Amino acid sequence: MRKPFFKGLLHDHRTAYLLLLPFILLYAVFNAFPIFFSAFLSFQAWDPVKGFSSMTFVGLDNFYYAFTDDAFWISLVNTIKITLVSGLCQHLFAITLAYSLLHVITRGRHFLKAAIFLPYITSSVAVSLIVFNLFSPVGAVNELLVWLTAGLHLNALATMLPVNFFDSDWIRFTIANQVTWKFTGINTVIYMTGLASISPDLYEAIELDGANRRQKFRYIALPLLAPFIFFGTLMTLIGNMQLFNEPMILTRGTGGVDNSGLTVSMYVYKTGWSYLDMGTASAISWILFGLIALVSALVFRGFGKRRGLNHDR
Amino acid sequence: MIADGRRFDIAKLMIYLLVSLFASLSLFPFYWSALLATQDTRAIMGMSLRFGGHFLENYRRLEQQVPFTRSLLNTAYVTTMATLLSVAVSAAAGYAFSIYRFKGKSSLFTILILTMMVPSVVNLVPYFFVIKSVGLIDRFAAVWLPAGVNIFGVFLVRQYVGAALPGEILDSARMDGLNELQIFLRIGLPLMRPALLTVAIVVVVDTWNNFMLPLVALQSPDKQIVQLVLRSLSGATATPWNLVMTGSFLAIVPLLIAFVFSSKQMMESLTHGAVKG
Amino acid sequence: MPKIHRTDSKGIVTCFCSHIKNGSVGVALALSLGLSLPASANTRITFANYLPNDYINKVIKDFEAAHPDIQVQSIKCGFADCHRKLTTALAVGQGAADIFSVSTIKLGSFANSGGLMNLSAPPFNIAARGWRFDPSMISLAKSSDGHIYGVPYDTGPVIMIYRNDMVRKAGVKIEDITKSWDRFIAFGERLKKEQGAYLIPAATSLINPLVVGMNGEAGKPVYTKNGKPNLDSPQIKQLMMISRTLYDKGLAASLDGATNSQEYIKLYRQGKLFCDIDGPWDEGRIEQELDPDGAKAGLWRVTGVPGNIRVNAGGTVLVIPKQSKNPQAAWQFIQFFMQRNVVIDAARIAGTLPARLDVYDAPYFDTPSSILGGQHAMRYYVGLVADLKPVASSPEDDIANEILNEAAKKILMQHRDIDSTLRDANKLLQRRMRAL
Repeated sequence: MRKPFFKGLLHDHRTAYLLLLPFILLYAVFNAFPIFFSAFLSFQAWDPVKGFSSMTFVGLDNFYYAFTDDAFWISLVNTIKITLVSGLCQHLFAITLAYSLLHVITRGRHFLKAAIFLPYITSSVAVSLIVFNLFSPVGAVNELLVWLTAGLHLNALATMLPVNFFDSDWIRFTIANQVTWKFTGINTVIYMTGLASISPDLYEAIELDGANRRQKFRYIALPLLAPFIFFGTLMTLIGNMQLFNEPMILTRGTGGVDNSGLTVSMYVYKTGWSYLDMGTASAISWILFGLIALVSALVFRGFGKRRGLNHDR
Repeated sequence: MIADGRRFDIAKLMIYLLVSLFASLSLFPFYWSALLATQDTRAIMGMSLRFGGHFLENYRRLEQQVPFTRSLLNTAYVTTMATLLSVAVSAAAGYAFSIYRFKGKSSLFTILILTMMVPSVVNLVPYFFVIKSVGLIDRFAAVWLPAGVNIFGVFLVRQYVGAALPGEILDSARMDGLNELQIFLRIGLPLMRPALLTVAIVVVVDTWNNFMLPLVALQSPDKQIVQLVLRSLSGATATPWNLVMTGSFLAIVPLLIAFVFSSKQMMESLTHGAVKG
Repeated sequence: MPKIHRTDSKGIVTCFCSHIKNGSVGVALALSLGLSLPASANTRITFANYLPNDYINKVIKDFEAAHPDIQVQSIKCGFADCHRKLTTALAVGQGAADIFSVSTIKLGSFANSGGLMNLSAPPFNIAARGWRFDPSMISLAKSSDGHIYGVPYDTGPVIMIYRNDMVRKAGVKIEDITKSWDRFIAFGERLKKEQGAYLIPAATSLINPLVVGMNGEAGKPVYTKNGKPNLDSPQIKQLMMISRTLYDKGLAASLDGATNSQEYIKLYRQGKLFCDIDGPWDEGRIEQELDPDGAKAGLWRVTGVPGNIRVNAGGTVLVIPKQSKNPQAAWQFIQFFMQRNVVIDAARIAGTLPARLDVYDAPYFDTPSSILGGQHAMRYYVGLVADLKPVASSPEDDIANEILNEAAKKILMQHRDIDSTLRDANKLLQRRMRAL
């Protein structure tokens, strides 16, 4: 059974550093400089097409500019909304699916797992064309809604159709939907990995005590999955707060009417590459970084209170 | 007892239905893109739901327009290297973070997590500067070497080893006279297989679909990767959608095969019970 | 032919010797030696472009046959990717291809960046090459100091492609419909009532092609006046009013969206959309995407834009970054590219409208269009090109265009007041221009 964490740990600096060396070397070469560069850049005014020599120091100007920019605040609110909705859905679905695939479903398990993972690898170009068609005012989703409301005599709802899923009221929903569709598969795989770390003996033991399937999930799988829920939540949080591809595709790079589908990362991109204001783009990046770090610290705290989740043994 | 059994069956049926629903929602766009790959541009733009007979012709024209097969092989090479490197590096680093206590451990780990939070959208310029400085311009290594830094992988391995590797095993291995590296290679690595497979999947997909780094790093026409080649089909005023759809579809197939393979492996380790604690 | 170019290139090399400082003289000298011994030296240049492959590969093959000492590598990149590649290379100061294709939409910032070769100056002396270009493209290829930084490859006058059968059914003439915006709108109302068809696809689709023609003065930037944002000019207000009328009266199929989005294609193919306003490439779009059957049946024709607005919808130019290590070879390639027969090939193989006016007398331009029911469309485009309004490209073009479209959506969809919304757009543009 799961034993206390203090065995097996060794104060062996040399082996630890040796194992870490390749990672640290690569990190120093490829990651450290871009971070310093971006930090440096956030205090500069710089139009990239004019070359390095055109940089000028502007102090906190870029940060002031960002904080006083309406589009930045709108994008921040959008990002948080999309993160919360799609993050919650992804993880609820993923845990359910992972547990079902491992412990409930026996026949067709490989096929179903592969199918659920498929969106993660499907090319975004192909999908965007299809999504635009499915969700267009004349698309299949609206046709389905019309058919449903007619069949169920929901006349009040029927007057709202067709829904324009790309207008300012719906675009965030459409983006969240797309993100959930794409990333539920990979979260399912993460949770299956987590379930794999649970010894089968535990299930056997609780089965001997007469527990049913739901109790097995509630009392064994869920608590022991906690390190992975923590991991998955953090990864989704970090990833979704930097959401870029889906809103970029679904708003055709515009950010939507009244910036209704603009995310912070997209705004950073536009500021840097379209408005050619790399300094402000970096400043916004760092503001976003600060926010993600803050929320993540809260998540760390929330999970850290429970026993051994950081398993810093 | 009987009532219990029946309720159980209904629950199982519901779960089957739910999972199948998810699976079909996931499959549908893939199926549709396969279908679009067989049509000509006119049918694609009309969103016809019928299979067309143009797949081979699309493929032929795709090869004519761009070095598709070549780019696919390049992408496969870059992805393989990135995956091997990333899995090896993440395994070692994640294991070290989980098993050992060393100076600077928690601050180093915090720095890594913080690194993930820095948006990378404006990093293209400094990245280009780096690969220029280390002389990697127009080399595949410019794309796969940076993939070695996979903080997600390090983190996942750390979580996995922490949850799945009981301390007693390490202790008894040490008593048997294995040194630390031997323990890592003989006990640690085989045990973290499910986690490493997950890391591998993520790296494969990320590298396969990454086009930003290759866009600025790789210059020669014979060094192009598949995503860029497909993107290069769209000109200023027109995009040959039939070729784009055919290419995108064909480019997913190797990923799908890789996933099914690794998923089988993973399921095997799951069902055999990798952990004997 | 090859002979002429050989002497040409020597001329360039000697020019370079006088212009490049000490260190490079050796290189230039070696190159000039290389040119006299073509077999021994090999210069390799790269050409990053988004132009049609069939055509570019042919040009390169012919060029290499004529210049065995120079190898050209075509780096194909997508439209957005090519520009991003150039931006990154200019930012870092290294790694650019020797030649880039650049869209006039993006040219403003590149031309004024100081990172491109000034083609008006020696050794290039573009004005002395004897090429006669569409003045509107040359105007767009200039930086604010009046020098030329790009060689125009193609051009595209704004045109209207429309359903001729609907005009006939209404018993009117197309000239009457396009005489003024009022007539156009009146026809739209009839069309809606009698034939159940929309006049235009997106209400905002008028803005991009037309703002260039309506706003600003010839030879000046479109979106600014004396360096200040000029998004609330009477002309833009009029344009917004037209768009709003079209939208409010339900003559536009929807507010916004790419022409080739699903809704529009469906309507086009059902015969419920009358026209599209864009460049000559619309011809190919009708045939490939919007209405293949209608094109086959010869239902479509081309004409000018209502209100007789003559303006350039955009084109591509070729530029040489200052980073290029072989600018002379790059220039040789561009010169080859600009030869009469090569330019005509661009029209023939790639289906683009060349920016060189002096090739328009070629018989090829008299070929009737099979897509437009035998109309002499190419002659028509060529006729438009001569008097397009030349405007200057400017670094803020891209940003201003985006802000204006954003404002248009607010005005149309959320019924905001035109005056105040455009004033806000001006303020926003002022803010966004800070780094330029």
